[in-house]
Amino acid sequence: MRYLLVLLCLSLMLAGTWFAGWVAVPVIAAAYALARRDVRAPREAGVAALVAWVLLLIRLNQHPAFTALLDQLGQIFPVPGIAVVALSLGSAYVLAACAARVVIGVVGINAVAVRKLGAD
Amino acid sequence: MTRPSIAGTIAAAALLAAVSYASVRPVGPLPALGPFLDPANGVWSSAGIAELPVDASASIFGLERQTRVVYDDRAVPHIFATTVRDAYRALGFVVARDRLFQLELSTRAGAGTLTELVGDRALPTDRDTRASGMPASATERLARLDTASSAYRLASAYVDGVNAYVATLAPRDVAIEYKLLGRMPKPMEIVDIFHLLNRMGATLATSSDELTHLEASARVGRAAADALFPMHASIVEPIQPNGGSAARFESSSIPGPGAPDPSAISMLRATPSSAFSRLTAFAPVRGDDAVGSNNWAVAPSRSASRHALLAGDPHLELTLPSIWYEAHLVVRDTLDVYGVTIPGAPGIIIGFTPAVAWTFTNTGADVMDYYAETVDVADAPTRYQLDGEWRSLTLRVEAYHDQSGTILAIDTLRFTHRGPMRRVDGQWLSVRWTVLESMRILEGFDAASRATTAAAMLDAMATLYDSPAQNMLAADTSGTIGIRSTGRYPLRPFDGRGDVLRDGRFSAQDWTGSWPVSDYPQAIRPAQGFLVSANQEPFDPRQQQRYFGANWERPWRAMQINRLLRADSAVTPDAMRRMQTDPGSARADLFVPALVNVARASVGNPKAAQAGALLAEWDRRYTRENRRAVLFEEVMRQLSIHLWDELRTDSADNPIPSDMITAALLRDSASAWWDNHFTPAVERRDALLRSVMASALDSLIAKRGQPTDDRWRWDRVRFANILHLLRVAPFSRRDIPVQGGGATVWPSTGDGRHGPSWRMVVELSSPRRAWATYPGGQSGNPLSTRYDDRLASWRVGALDTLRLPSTIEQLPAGQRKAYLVLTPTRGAR
Repeated sequence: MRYLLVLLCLSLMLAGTWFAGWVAVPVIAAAYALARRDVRAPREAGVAALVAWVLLLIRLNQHPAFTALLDQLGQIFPVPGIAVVALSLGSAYVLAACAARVVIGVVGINAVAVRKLGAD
Repeated sequence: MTRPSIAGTIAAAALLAAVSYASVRPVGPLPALGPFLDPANGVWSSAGIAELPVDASASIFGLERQTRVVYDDRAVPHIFATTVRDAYRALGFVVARDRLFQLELSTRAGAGTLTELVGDRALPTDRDTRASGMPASATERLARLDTASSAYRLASAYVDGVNAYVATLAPRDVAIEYKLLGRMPKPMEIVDIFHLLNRMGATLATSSDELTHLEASARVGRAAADALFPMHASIVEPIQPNGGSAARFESSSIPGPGAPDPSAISMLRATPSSAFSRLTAFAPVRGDDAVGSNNWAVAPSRSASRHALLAGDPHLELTLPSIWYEAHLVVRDTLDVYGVTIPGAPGIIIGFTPAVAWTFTNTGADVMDYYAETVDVADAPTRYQLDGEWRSLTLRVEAYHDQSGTILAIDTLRFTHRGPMRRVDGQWLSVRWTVLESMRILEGFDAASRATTAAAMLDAMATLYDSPAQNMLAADTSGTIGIRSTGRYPLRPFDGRGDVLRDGRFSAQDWTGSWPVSDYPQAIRPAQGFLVSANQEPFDPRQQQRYFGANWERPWRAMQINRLLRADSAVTPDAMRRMQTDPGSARADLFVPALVNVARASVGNPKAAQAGALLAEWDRRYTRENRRAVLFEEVMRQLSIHLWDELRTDSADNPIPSDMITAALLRDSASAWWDNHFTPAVERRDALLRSVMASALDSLIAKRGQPTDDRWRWDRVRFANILHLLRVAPFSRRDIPVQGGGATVWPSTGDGRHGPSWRMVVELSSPRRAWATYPGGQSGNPLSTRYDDRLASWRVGALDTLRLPSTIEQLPAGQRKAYLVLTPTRGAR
């Protein structure tokens, strides 16, 4: 069940980013945390966001121009191009995880989740 | 219910706030990181839009019929429409599709609204642009344009096409430059076309000859200044043929440096040279090599195929993407025009139809005058004096906004009846400039694209085109070749000269009218069988004495092209192509023998003798592999420094005469100009030439090693540097070795940022044949394979064979690379 929820979150992250842009990431993460009320929600939302953005980047990586883009961004900023990729993925993870963490900090963790956490 | 630790929540909230802030707000030079790094809509998505799709469709409001576009294997769109307006709509669409960012940047540059795109760093540029009066004149001219006129309707159609494309754009689809700036494209307005045309005027028709002449007068007297910066070129090889079989050297003597002219000194004190520089600060900076356009045409009597030939070679600032965009518009039985347009300009600027081909070089006539105005209140005038009365100034308040709409600054601009007025270093100066009064350019280009003879094309442009003045060269399939320096040329009172600062207190100082077209420099069906323009003085001063401009471009390129054409009575298109990169130099042919002769007579100066011997080895051609052009150029550089020492001060505005004057001075070995006034001895010509040859050789050996060293190769010395419009380094292409140097047909001096922007050769046969290229590629996307795919052929002077189908079916299937179908939008806009 937990993996299904993470998968659902990942799918929402994919669709949300595609249609609404980066803003969808913290919003979906917050909603996910609100629904889950689980102390693991921040990490799960972060991973879902990160994987969703990895998938989106993999899709773009199919284009021959992607390598040139990495190189050009690296020269513009100037850091290795891969660092810009890491920055993108890192920001997705941080946005999602922090949003989820703030939500569960405010609304709390439900008892079932606490018991499960203890069992784990 | 339990809660995780408060400290953890606060830390997460703080981190979220920090990342969110960086995601929505630009930090330093970085764009807002959220939309930028977004892998679906941000910079990464640029990789997915690098190439145009093979099949695409779109709808355009107002389109009358379906319009089809086929892109050939050179990425050139061939537009097949059923009405001319549909063709212009499609042109707007395809130009925006490949070059939208360039289009917006160029029009904003002319509008003085760059700050709204790039922020406050552009504020000084925008202020200069607005103060030039260009944006205000664009607005006024649009208001005066008849909305029923063909110009307005074509402009409107073009803008509809651009905006139809803009409307299709999601954030992921916009050019990478927009993503770097964190902006979305703005829809185009018709007034933007005028902004763009004004910008071209600023590039091609600004002058500050007043400054040069004044500065020289203030240092060496009026007589010397007149001779050093003459109204007429001292080497005569005019655009309008004068019947000569070679360039003519005028033998006027050049007075030596005299006493400073007190009136020039007092005028400069009131209006320092920096004032003039400030007044033209809105114009793009132009280096030594900025002027270099060539065009020529050959009549059937001198072409191998017995068809007229035409070569176009306009030189402009080299940028990526290129200033030009290649396109072909076809409307059956009405329009079939191929050539290059400027993104934002509705029409083909340089090109050809099945019957006529045309191209331009810049005329360089003086169409900009300055007036010293007397005002009521020095700090914030509302009136200016004219004929003893006070006249109200027109005031215009200009606000500058940043990307978010915040006002960055507000200026009050002032206008006299002549034009914009600015206060620079305490003096109020107004400017009258034909560019600000130009009305019918768009109709001119439309008429050109429909002309069926060269004469009709030139006549239509003479009526409709007024600025910036251009040497318009045309050829047609009947074998006619013709040229006319077309524009509006002011008639001035008194001595008629425009290179003096005029007293604005008197209306008698105003322009009195314009030249009649019959007096323009022109020639049609010349007896000599060819025509050449290369920015040189268009008239032979023996045939036309009236002031047309001053300080003319040196005629070396014109001399070289004329020489090549006189020597070839069976010219081929390939010969025309080779001439465009011909490495020969009329300048070197004149100076090198003189230098070698002086060096041979050297006694006691072995270094000068060695330099002379090295120059004697040179074939005087600026090929990439030659090792002697670098020495000649260093000699000429040092010669200019020492010869004109009387004119040099610490000022940045030193008036330095052209090497055309140096050439004239060579014949006067005892002229006082040869003397180095920093030494007690009195030097003469030969002593100075030997001295600079020795010094040049020494400095080159110190810098590049012995003359056999590869560092003396020309391709290790001269480069073209083609910068991206925003100067983004990885989007720019630097250090491209070129063939050509000072004053060759492909001149290469200065910072290498100007050069041949479009090379074209057309044979007016039936069917027509044409070849062309430009430095760059059709796509404005730096990630596209079409961004710079033409650079390799451009740098070696090769031209592509152009595809010229009159129907889609005439384009072989193997040359069709992509399709676009445009359909009318249903319903309301």
